[in-house]
Amino acid sequence: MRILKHLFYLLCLSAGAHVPMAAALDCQTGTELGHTFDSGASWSFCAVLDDDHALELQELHYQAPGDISRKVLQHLHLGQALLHHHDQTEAQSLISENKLGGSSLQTLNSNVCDGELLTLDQPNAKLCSRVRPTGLLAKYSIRPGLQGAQYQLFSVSNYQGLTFKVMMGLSEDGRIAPSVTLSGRSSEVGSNAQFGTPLVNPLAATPLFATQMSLLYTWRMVFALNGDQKNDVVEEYNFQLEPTLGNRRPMTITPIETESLRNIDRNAFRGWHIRDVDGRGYYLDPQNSGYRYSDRKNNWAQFDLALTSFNACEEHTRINKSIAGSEPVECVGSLDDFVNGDSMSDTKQVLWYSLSRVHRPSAEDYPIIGSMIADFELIPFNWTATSPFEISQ
Amino acid sequence: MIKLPLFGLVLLAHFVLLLGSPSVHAAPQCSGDALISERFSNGASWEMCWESRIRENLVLNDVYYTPPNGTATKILNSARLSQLHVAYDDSDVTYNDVTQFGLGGGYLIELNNNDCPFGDLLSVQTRPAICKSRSKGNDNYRTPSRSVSAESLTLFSVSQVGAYAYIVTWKFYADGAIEPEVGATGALQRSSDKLELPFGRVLEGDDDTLWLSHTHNYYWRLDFDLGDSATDDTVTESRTELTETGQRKTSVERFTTEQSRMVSEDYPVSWEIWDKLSAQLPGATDRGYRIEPIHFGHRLERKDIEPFTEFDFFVTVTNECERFASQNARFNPDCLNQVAQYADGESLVDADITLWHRVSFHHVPRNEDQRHMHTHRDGFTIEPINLHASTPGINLDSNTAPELDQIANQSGTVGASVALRLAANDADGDGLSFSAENLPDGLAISADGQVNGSLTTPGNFAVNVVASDDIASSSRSFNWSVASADGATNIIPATSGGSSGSGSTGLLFLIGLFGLSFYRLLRRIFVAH
Repeated sequence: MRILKHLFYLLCLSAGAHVPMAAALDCQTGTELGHTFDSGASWSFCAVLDDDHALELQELHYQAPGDISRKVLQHLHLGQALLHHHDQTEAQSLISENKLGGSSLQTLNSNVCDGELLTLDQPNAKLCSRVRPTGLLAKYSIRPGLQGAQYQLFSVSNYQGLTFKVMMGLSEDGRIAPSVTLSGRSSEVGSNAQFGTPLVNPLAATPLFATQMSLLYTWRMVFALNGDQKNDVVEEYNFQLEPTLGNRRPMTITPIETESLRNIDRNAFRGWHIRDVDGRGYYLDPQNSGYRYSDRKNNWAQFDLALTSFNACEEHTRINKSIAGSEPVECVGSLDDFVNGDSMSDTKQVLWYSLSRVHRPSAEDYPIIGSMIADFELIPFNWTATSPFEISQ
Repeated sequence: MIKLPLFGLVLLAHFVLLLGSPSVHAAPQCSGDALISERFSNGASWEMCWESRIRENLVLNDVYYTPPNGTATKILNSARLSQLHVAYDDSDVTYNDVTQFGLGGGYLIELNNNDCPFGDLLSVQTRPAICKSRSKGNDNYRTPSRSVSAESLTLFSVSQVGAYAYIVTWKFYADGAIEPEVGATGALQRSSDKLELPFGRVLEGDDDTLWLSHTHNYYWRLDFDLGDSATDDTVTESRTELTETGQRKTSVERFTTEQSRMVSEDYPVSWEIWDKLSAQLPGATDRGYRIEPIHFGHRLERKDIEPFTEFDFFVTVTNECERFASQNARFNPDCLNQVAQYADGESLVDADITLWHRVSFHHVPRNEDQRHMHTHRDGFTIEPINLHASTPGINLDSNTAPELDQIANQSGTVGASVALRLAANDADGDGLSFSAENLPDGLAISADGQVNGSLTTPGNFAVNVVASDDIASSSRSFNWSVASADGATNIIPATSGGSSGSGSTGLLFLIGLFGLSFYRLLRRIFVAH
């Protein structure tokens, strides 16, 4: 009976998949995709598989039930992924040709995609989409609870045996949850206990120290809230404890007016609100941040957030390329260089958000590493006047 | 008699521990409706007893995990949410919901099938109030050719405390991981008519009300009893710091007395609890669980008035009357009042150990919180360490290595396009991934075995290709000769590569084969005895 109920619910969830959008998107690159939930909430976007950073969403629109479709993001993709084996003196950058994108993108089949296989412009399926229940979306007293769902779109890249699942989770209530999940084959071993974990490898008869890894994922988000008018602003929220004021926490809201590098302040509950002139916006909730990453080579990596003015060629935290055209552009430098004091008015706001994880191996990681996810959420903040999901009386 | 090297004996002892003795089946001390048992498709299972208390509501006791093909091992003596502390930014009101109100009794909401569409409802006294389901989550693991979703036994209840509804959830995964979580939904609780105050926000359509920002602090109490004895567990802290050379060094500290610890902004930290250690510090055969604080973008600290908020993790000697993280003396007048007091330096040696962990969530009201808030979930993961001999759910015994098809030597001219398809067979039908070493410049191989590109550099290249089913692999070598565009003989010798079976890949493969054979030999010894 439980299985039947489950099947029925999953059928209901998937019934609205890939219905036509309210308005066609201008997908200059990529393929138009989307999903409409039973509640009427929908997402539409252009999906791109990039040679450098794998999955990218462009022209991302959200439509809340009873609302119109509104643009949220112009671009959403990884701006960097650093992989540092602890016994090495430098991290590897995975954002370059054929590390996460290009030939590293895996052809997916039903063994590795429990949803719908998507080919886009590729000869083989490189994307998987699915809808997953997320549990109670809202509940109040004994009134029947509302169940929520999330549309998920992901690609999988293979780099030296490691797999990186780059996924965009688009929830029914407008939340956006980008994530990278590490798994794949464990292979790095060393001899120094300071850099590794002593293990019994079931595939080898000698003791080993499985090398620990640190990963830093930096997401690039080009906002275009409710259109491309270049009128969005980013505000930093702080709630600093004031012991002299009876342990109160006055809220301070500071607009960020020039390009900046910022850090999480967990004791001040720091967060970043990006909104348009009408007040509709999103909140970057740094809740899933654990610790700060630092690096001898990449100065920018010690910051949790960077805010830059839009520049089409500043796609990754380190670039060295030319863009052809009537006025060719030479793009060289790193995120440190991008943050050079430009005004944030009359431009598209680009947020670069980084989060880090450490992989400490155990026997469970041999021969295949148990999944390690790094994710965060963008939460709608005054996107609608009230909740578009009301609990019935 | 079979002679085993010393390390073989260590391995033998490890697998004896993992496979367990067939004599007595360890099990929770309850039955009937009080027993929860779930077996997963990988063969693993969880068993535990549950009860609903007026204050904490769901308390899980005698929690046992059975790995795939293993025997049941006790993990926790008791686990519960031990406080739900809510501090408002105006500091006028602070709630300790578990002790001031409670999550059980009349605060526990009756659930129906709408609330629990995938599971079964368990009754507290006569009311259905606990949802028990089998859920699928993120990947358990993933390779180019296979992926397994993480299955979990999920238990949740909903408690209505004031305007807030708290969804208290426990997930027990098929790979041995545990995930406590609280979801906050319902409606906003406190407001003010002093709109000028900087402690909240005025929401659209409600111009006369300032809804106040606040923090939820969730405290969990975890009485671990790993393995057969409650008094032989050990707790460590691991810190990873960047060195001057750019490497990252991890140091491990063993706790011998009760501790209060906080997360650090400067370096990653994790806490581990181990079953009886074989040496002073954890080694290859020791098993335990790890808590890694990775949901710490917010943390509430106001130690002047609430000392227990200064820290994020506590290690204490188990004392049943130390029940709540704060306001404990309300119900246990002969005991200390809050968790920072419990951690007062008592020895942890040969003691039963309880861990306390907290997670904070700061809530800034937004328009979407009217009239009912979307659930915001916060929690953490308790990951197994060496509880299994290998990746749970992968049967190393039954795997057969793939076999690469023969590859003829290749030749071409600089500028020529290449499209070469590699092929391999796998007796088990596993999906395969391909890789290559020392391909001619300009060529790349995709994981599905397609070599593409254009030749750019003349020379002779000794190419080694590998086909892997993620557990075992096979390799073949061949020569790729690239002539310059003018047709001249190749002049640049290959710089690396080698014949079939040589090179690092081949060596790893041989080590893998030897290790697999050794592992199978050990398994046979166990079966025979």
